[in-house]
Amino acid sequence: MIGIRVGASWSAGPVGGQWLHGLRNYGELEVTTSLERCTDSSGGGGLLSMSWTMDTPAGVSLPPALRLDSLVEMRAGSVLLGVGYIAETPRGNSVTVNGLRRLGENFLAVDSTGVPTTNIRTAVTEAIVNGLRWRNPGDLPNSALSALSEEMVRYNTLSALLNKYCAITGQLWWIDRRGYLRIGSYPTTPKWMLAPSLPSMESADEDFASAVFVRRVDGLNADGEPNAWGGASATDPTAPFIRQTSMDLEQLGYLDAPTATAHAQAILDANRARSGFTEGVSVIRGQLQTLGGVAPEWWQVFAVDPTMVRTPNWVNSSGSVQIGRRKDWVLGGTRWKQGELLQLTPLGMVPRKVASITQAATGKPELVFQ
Amino acid sequence: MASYGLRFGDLDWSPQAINDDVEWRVYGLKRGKPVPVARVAESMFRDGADESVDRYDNRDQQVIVGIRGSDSQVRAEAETALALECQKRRNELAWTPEDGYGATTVFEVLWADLEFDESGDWDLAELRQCEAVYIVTFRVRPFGMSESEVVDEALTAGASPVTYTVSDGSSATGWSSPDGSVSASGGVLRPPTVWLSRVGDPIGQRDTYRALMSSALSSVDFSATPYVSMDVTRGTPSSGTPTAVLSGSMLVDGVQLSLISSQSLSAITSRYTYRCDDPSATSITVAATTAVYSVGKSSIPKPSQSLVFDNIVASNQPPGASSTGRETLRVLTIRGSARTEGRLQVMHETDTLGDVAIYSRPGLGVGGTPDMKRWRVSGGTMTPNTSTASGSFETLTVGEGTATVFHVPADSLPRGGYLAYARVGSASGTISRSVSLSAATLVGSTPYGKQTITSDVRSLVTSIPSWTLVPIGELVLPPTDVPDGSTANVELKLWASGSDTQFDELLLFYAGEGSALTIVRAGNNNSGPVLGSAHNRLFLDTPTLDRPEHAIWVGTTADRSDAFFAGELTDGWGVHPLEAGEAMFFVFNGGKATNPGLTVAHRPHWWLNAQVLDEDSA
Repeated sequence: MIGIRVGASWSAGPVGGQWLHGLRNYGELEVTTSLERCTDSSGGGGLLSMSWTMDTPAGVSLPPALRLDSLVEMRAGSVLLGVGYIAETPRGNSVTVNGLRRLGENFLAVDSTGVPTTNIRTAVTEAIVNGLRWRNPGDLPNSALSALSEEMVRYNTLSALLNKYCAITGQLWWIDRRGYLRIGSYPTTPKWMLAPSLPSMESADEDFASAVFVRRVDGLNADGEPNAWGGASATDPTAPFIRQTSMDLEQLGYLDAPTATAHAQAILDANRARSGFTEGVSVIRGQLQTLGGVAPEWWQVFAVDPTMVRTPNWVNSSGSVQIGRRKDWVLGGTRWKQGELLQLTPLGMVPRKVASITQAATGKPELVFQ
Repeated sequence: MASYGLRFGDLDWSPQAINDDVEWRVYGLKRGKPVPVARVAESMFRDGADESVDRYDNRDQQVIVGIRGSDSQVRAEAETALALECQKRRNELAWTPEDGYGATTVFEVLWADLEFDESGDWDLAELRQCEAVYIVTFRVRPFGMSESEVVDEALTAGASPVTYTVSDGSSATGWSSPDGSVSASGGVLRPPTVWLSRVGDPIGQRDTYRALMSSALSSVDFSATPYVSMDVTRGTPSSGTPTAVLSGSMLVDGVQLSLISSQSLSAITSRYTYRCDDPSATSITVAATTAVYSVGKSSIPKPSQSLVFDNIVASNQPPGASSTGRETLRVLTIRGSARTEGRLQVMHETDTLGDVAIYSRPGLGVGGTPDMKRWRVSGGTMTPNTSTASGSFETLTVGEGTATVFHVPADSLPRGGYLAYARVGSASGTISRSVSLSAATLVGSTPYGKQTITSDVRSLVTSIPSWTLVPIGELVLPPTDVPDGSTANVELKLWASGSDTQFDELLLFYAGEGSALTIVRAGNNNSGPVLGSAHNRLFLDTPTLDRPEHAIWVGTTADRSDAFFAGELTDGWGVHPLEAGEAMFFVFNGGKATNPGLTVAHRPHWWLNAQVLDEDSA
């Protein structure tokens, strides 16, 4: 059902192009997608990469449609599943494609006069004018991110701006199957369910905490500068073993004790939610289903749009299988290669509302990146 | 005495072959095996692992061949010919069995490797006996092929519809059954339904039932109306869970007719269409089977069940999903013992095709077809129109609350992924709209497993005559699964992002293993084909030795003399795999052409030895 088209031109979506199987026989198709939690240095989602091998005899050149930067679409029938561009000039018979999301690293966040901006709508609109092959959904946030005047902000890449925006708002950004830039929340209801017979994903204690201690500002002087500090903590009495961690919340300014305790509890909740997955799962058809009990085709299970997966049983931080306890996790990555199992990897942490609060709390409102 | 045949490209190694100065001698043959490629997933709670084979890898064949010549120059010439044959990018190795009964099997050689046979370590045979011995290794595709194709010609349509009604279900006169008397009531024919067999499983019992009846005909000429269809409806069993009608069959003058189409008309009724060219038929027999599940031990009483027949009609119009002839259905039998591929042609002699969607999938024992309009239960006002594919159009509303609603029997949907398309247009002028579709399984009246997809915003022009086939997206159906025999419906809702969006047809293509979809904008012109913009012929070719890639062509002439590669006109291009057994085809076309002909050719694939095809012996 899957076909690949190459060499289309882009005007609000792919136009034209040629089907790969009409040019050369090809195989060993591999597709990876990912969805990343946004931090200062990473983020973004969508098609990550694609590669295939072509039947090309020695001395025969590759079809001209396969040149550096050529657009590549993956389709089922005529339904778009992902868009990318050729990242490596094919050498030998193997072609590597990057997802369109990577193009965000190639464009700066500037307005129509070339001045740096932290307004996502302005920056994306201008980048598209400058040749960025994304599509504008028309509903992007329209306010400056920085509290400082824009002239003081250094040139940032579009990806960095999006990462920062989403880190502060506790959201995700991704390039959807049709090439639109999307900004949205973490999913809250699972779309897929793993078969109960699957081995559970292993987890590690690295991110586990049984107690969180936070340092807070307890008083301000007349100029608003901190002059007194205190502490607050939250403990999970049911934790299987003890691991205490601390965080400094000074950057949040003055925090009274109950608020600081609530923050600590939020961080602890987020950590408890975190199973610290050290690996993903590999499934064959039938081991992954909708909650309605129907197995999807492999190309329907891409970590492009944020989706959740339900595991009917899982290994908890202390290593025991939690029979009868299900767990929902956000799909953070998929890898499919012809003839191999479909691999699913979770996003490191199941976000909850409190996690977003923590994320927002620790993200600095001023932009200082690069 | 017959002898075997072995041919490699242009070299004939058969013992009876005549070659000038050189004699080829075959000393050994290894035929190899297809290598299964298995995927393994460990299971935590069961012994063993879950494994599945999803394809086969290439096989290796070997021949030990001796070149015997009068002098070393002759041997060198033969070796040169052999080496050149080995270096061809693609070649063929054809094996014919020795007794003249079996058919020739052809293997596609991907590469061949030549090696001088020095197994005796030190070899002076060439000097002593004037014979050079080589080992040739062939890397071939996993399965062998028949030499020739099986071609299922397009079904022709009469210029104006003609029908001959064998029975409209109103009278049982002339009908008889070996199981008892046939009656007519409620507008259907009711032969006795007899119990056939009971099969048990851990949960319960599955009882199979059959109904059969015959009638004499007064020398009917079916050749003018060769498409004979019947509607079979199952009853409500006295207990247990019924399944849909499982199968139907029809015999004319004692000859079983070949099935060309099957279609679910409702959860309980299926229409089967057969091909009959008998010019003077004197008898007809129809039969059908169904099943009922009962929960319990094998001793529980057998439920009673009934099957009734209606609308036994011969027509000169091939079977289609709609009255307009723009949604063609076809069922074909695929020969062989391995998966092959179809070479397809869609054409109309005089009228242009417009947008064409060619869809194929394995039979799967399910009668569901991609057209959804016939499951529509509510929506706007339907206006009949001959430019539509479904026969009528309506205006979509904005928002799900007042959407056009379809109730599809969950039983008719194979489980898996689906691609959804809507044929829409503008009431007047150019508008930009997206179309949304939601799907949920109705359990009682509660929707379960709801999924919603929305198309891209598309520019739509005035629908009559320029409808647009818009891809909406992908779904997993049924949204919530139900067991076989369930009477649950899947509720589909279709709506638009703005007013004045006219809707003709909703297509849901099952996209599971073995299915393929090709969508080509062949162009439409109501006054006839225009090369370059409006075409009436479409060809999908499988790889050949000369052109090892797939190809797709459009044109206006049958001999392809004006055809050109249609890559730019192709929105979706599937490679149409054909599993041995039953294959279903559905052709949607949006242009002026009605009942376009679908010709399907396939080269049967075999594990090792090809069977004789009917076409060979004819």
